[in-house]
Amino acid sequence: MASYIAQRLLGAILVLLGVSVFVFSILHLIPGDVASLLAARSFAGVSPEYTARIRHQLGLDNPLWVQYWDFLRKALLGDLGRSFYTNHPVAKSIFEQFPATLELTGAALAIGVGLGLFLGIFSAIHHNTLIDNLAMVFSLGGLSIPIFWSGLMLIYLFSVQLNWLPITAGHGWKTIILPATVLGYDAAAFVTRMVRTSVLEVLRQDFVRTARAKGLGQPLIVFRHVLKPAMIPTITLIGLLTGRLLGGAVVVETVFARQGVGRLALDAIQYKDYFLVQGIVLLAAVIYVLLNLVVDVSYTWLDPRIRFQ
Amino acid sequence: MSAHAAAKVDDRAPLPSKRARRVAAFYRLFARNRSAVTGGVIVALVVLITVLAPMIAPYSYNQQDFTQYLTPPSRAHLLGTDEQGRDILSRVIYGGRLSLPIGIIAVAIATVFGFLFGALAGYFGSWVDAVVMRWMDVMLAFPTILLALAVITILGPGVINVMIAVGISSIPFYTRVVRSSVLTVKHMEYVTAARAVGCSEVRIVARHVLPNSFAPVMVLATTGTAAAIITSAALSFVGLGAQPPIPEWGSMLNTGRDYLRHAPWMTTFPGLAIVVTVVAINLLGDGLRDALDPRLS
Repeated sequence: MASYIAQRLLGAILVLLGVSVFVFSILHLIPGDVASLLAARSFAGVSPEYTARIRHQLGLDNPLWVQYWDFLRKALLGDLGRSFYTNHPVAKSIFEQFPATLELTGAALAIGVGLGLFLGIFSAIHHNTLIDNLAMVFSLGGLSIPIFWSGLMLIYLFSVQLNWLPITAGHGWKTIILPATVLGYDAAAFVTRMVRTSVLEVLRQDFVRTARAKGLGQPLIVFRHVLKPAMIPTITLIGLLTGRLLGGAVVVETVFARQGVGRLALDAIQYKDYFLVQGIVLLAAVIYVLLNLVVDVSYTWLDPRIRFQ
Repeated sequence: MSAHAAAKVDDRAPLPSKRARRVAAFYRLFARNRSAVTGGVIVALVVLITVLAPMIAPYSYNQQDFTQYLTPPSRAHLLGTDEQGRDILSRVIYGGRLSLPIGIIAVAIATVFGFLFGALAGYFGSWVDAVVMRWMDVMLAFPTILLALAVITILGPGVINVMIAVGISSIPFYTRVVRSSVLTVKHMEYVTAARAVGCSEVRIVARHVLPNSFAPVMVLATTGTAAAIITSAALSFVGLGAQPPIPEWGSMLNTGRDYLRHAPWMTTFPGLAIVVTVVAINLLGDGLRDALDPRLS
């Protein structure tokens, strides 16, 4: 088990190093000279001296490997540079917005997993019945309806027509309902399909037949014997879904005019605030990799075959 | 030759090849799947409508009528008009001319590079496999839309750059599928036979390995087109793709958002166009998957 965890940890560190190389490269792949671009924005104008000073300040006159080492060292200490636009530290700007995104993705994940588990189990138990077909239609809808459109339609229905929920973000629990539902439905579609397939597979196993032969009822069989083995692929999916939710937050925060890291990313792209884009992309990748590492390690609890390897 | 002799020759006609039987089985299974056939028909209709847009659309996508702005659906304008008095139906029809190719070209980019990297990794193995797959792991560490945003940061906004961004962010999925398929195919007897008769490695990969790895990629590319249409529309929706006045479903939704209270038809119909197209492509993709590998259904 220890070697399994060590292997996964090493893999995650390698991926994170690759991520840091990619994020570092963003600044160097942009057409043109970043120092000139910054100089052009300042009141001092694009004089060669001023541009050279900015280049020196940012360390862009150093060899590439020195720049990368500097970037990595600072990133590990939480220093992601300063915003080109506001001059605020990038890490501070991101962490100011992060709670709102975390609240949204957390609520969406809870809705997605809760709904997906319920529908997935229910449709597998009632395989090839109307309930199963309806659950699959629900899932196909989640895969096919863009979140920016379902968001707008829900705003129109619940905020404009019925006036039940606030149109845009503010304070209070009511403001999270629509955005979390939209993002959660997207996640629920994937979870429903995966849980249904996993439960169907486990239901065909010999030990389930034995449990049935012993006279156990369907609910007891599902909750005592089926759910845990069926959860293994589902937990993997939940790890992968966090990435989808983080990406979806960019769109949902725009639709509902919510504060958050996603909207910050779009503003950063619009204002060519490259350090801020680098910081946000890096943060999202780090969260994604670490969560999937947690998922991998959680297998040791869920799957005894790994524990005893 | 007598009729009797001819009948005898027919009896000895060779049985259909294994490939022909597989193709026949695929068509039989696909044709039996009603939802897949429906999906295929809808996709064909959508493509036809967008190709014939200049002949079908009642107005030009840019024709303005300031006496008719923000009017609800009526006989003159079946899906209503927008804030500049342009016909929504015409813009939805023309919108497909951009939204569909964006998704298809993005998938084409991902497929070409996926084939290239997947074939390299799967066929040559060893350090080539390690390097390619670790790099794919790195790309997979970024949520798709954020990777696309990072690429757009480098390339800048615009329709072509959205295609490239969505294509690049999808490459790892195709690479993985091609690699695993190549790993299976490269140990087949016909590959060993090709090597034994002296075929070059490039010829073996191009002539024998890749064509036999095509089926799973075709399924992924079909459902991937649906996902690419949504991602591209999302990027246009947030203002990074097609720019007004060019009609594109995502950018139409972006414009319609400001008029949601007074003209909901501006957002309803471009969104419905996306949903219908994506549902149809997903049904088609599910049908292809079931027909190509019935074990998965």
